Amino acid sequence: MNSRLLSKLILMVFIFLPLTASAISVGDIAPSFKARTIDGSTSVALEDYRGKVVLIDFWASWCPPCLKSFPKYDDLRREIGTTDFEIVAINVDENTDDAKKFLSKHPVGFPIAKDPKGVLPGVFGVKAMPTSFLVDKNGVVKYVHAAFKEGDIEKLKVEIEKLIAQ
Amino acid sequence: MKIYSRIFAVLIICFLTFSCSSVSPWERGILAKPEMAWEPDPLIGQLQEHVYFSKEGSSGGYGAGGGGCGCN
Repeated sequence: MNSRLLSKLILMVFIFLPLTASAISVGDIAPSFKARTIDGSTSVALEDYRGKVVLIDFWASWCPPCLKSFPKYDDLRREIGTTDFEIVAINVDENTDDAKKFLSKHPVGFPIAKDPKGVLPGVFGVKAMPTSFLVDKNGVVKYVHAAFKEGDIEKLKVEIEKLIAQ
Repeated sequence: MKIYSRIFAVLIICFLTFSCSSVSPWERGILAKPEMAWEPDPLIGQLQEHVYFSKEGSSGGYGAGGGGCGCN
């Protein structure tokens, strides 16, 4: 096999390599981000919550498990308090009005950022909706949870309290 | 050598004209709409399943699981 053919084959390998970013997993540093809030008035940045345990939740108005998770997350936030903990929800609806309609029916107290172009879920490597990333006080991802079922909130609460205590 | 170049050219053309692409979980807003379901009306779906089961004596294989959100 001559070198030209070999170089073409190598080129092929690179062309056909999946162009997907690797997913963020436990132990990785959470990518820092800054996104506009759902009403566009201010920005939400992960850096704003450095020193707190942060739950980053990717959600959409069309996702039925998100409907279940939102009131539970809001209760959890109220229960734990925001001194050492915060939830940052990132909406990925292509049409932000859908998210606004959802929030008018199911209002929550935590900050909600919008990412209609889906850049952040790509960076985090979201594989299902909803997916949440629990980030410790140092910005390290400690727990990744995809989907949402009854009973998940208790497991999450245990993880959050463990991280707050650290 | 010419044959390899041709194969390479064909593969590149195949790659460039490849029309399938994966839909990311966060891009499934339209797929998650009720009208995109195999059977939008669950009652009619159940009735059809019952008729099929009664006539054929078999059940299952009625469609794909999941509502498009990638969570099932």
